[in-house]
Amino acid sequence: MNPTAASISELAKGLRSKQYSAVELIKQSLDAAKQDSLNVFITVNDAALEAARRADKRISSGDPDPLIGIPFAVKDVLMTRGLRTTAASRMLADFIPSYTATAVERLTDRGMVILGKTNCDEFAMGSSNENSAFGPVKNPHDESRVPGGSSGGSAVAVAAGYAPVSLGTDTGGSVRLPAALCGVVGFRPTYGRISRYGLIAMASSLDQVGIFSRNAEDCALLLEAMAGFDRRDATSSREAVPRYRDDIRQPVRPLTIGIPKEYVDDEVGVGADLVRRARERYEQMPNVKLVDVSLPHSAYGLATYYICVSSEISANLARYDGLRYGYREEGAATLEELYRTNRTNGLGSEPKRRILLGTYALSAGYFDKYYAQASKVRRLILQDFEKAFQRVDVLLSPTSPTPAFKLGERMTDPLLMYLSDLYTVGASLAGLPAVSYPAGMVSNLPVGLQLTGPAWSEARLLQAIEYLQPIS
Amino acid sequence: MSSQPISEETVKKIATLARLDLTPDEVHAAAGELGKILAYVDRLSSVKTGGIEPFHAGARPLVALREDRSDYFKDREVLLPKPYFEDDLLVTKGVFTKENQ
Repeated sequence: MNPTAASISELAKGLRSKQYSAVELIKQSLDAAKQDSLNVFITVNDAALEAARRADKRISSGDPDPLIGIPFAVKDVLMTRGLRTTAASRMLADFIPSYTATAVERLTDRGMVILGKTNCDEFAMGSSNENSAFGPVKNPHDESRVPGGSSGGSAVAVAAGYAPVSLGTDTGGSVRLPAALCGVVGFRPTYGRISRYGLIAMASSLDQVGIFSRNAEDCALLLEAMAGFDRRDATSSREAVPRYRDDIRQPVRPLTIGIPKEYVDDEVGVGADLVRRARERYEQMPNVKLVDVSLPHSAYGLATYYICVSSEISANLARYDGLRYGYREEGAATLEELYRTNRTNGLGSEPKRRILLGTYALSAGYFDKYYAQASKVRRLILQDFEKAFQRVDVLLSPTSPTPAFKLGERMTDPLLMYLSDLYTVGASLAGLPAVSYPAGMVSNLPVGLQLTGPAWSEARLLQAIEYLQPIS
Repeated sequence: MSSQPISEETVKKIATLARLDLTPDEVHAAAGELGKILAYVDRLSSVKTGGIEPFHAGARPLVALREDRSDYFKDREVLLPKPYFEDDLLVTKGVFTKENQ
C-alpha cells in the first residue's frame, strides 16, 4: 500500500498494525515534499519528525485516536508558532508567528503532524495561485496549467499524494475552486463553524477555514476535530458539533436536490454542461429527487462579492506598515514615508489592486453607491438561498465555469480572473456551507460539482457527496 | 462592456489614502483595470434595495462575547523583535519633521 494515497482510517490501521510508524509515514511525505516540482510548499516543517516521534509514543501507549500520526499540510495564511508563515507575501516573507491558529492547534493536539506550509495566492487573493511572491503552483494533472486558487498548494498537496488531507481557507471559493481543478474534495463549512483565530485576515465577514481530502470520511474527521466554539474568535459559533463521521455512515435519507436555473439555463461551458449530465445520472438514483429552483439575485453575486471583499481588504491590510513586524526598509525620512515605502515594496500587485478598489468603494462620495448597496444586495442573495432551502435539501451547481486554465492566461485581465469565482461566491456571501467534489474528467482534466446547503448542514452535505457518484 | 472612467487623478488620491506609491505606469494601468471592474460592478445599481437591511456578516445567530477578562501572553519578548523594537520601545521615525512642526 502506498501510504500517501491511503485514507486516514487506512493509515490509522497501518500505524496500529505496525506496517509502518508515524516517523516512517512523515519521512515519506517529507521526501516527496522535498522533491516536489509543483512548488507546493513555501516552508517544509523541520519539526515534523519530532512530532511524529511523539505520535508513535501515543500510538504505542494504546491511544485509539485515528488522527494520531497523520500528516497534513497547512495553507500559509494559518499561523503556526515557530514555523514561518508568509501569506505568500514579501510583506511576511520572514515572519515567525508567536502563536498557532486554533484550527491547526486542534489537529496537532490530536496528534496530527504538520508536513509544511503550502503556497497560495498572496494573502489568499486570487483564483489561480499565480499571485504568490514565491511563484505559481502547478497543476499535477498538467503542469502547464494552474491548480486554481487561492489555496492551490493545499489542493495539490492532497491531489499529488503528499498528504491525505490539508487545510485551506475559503473566502469566495478558495478551497472549492482549486479542489475542482485538482480533482479532490474541497469543503467550506458554515460561517462560524471553525474558529478563525490565527487565520491571517483577508475579509473577516467571509473568511473560513476549509478542508481538502480525497473522500467525505476524511473531511468529516477533520471537521469534527476543528469545529466548535473558540473564546478567542467572537464569530465562532456555540452550535453543538455533531459526530460527522458517524452521521455520514447512516443510511442515506431521501435527498431533494435543487438546480438553480440561473446557473444552467442558457449557460454554455463545461460547468453548466456538467450539471445537465449530473441531473440525468442522479435522476436514476434511488432516494434522489431533482427540482428546479431559482436564485434570482445570483447575477449580482460576483459584483457584490468583489465590493465587499475589497472593502474589507482595504481595512484589514492597513495593518501592514512594517512598523512592528513584516517587510521593513530602512532609510525613510519620515513616519509617513516609512509606511508608504514598506507597503509599496512589501505588497504585491493583487493586494494593491484590491486595496485601491476597496478604498474607493468606502470613500465618502462612493460609499452608498458601492459598499452600502452591495451589503443590501448581499441580504437579497441570502434570502434567495433561504427561500430555496424551504423546498430542497441541497443545491447543485458547477464549482468552476472551466477546468484548469493555462498558467498566465488570465493574469493580464483581473476581471476575467474574478469570473472564475462565479459559482462559489454565493455561498460565501450568505455564510453557508458548500463542498466541491470530483465529478470526473473532461479532456483529461478534473472537473468538480458543488453542493451548497443551509447553515449547519455539514453532515448532510458530506453524506450526499459520498452517495453521489462521479458522472463522467 | 464599456469602461466607466476613473481618472488617473482619482487613482492617485486613493493611493495616497491607502499609503501606496504608484509609478505613472501603475497609475495608468490601475485606472484602466479599476474602470473595467467598476463597469462590471455597476449592475448593482439596478437592484431595488428600498427597505432592505444590509447584511454584513455570516455570523449566526449572534456574535459570541467572551468573558471580560484579559489574557496574559506568556512570552512577551516574542512580540518585541528587532529591528522593530529596542528593549521595550518601538523604533520608528518622528511624526513631526522640521517642515511640519
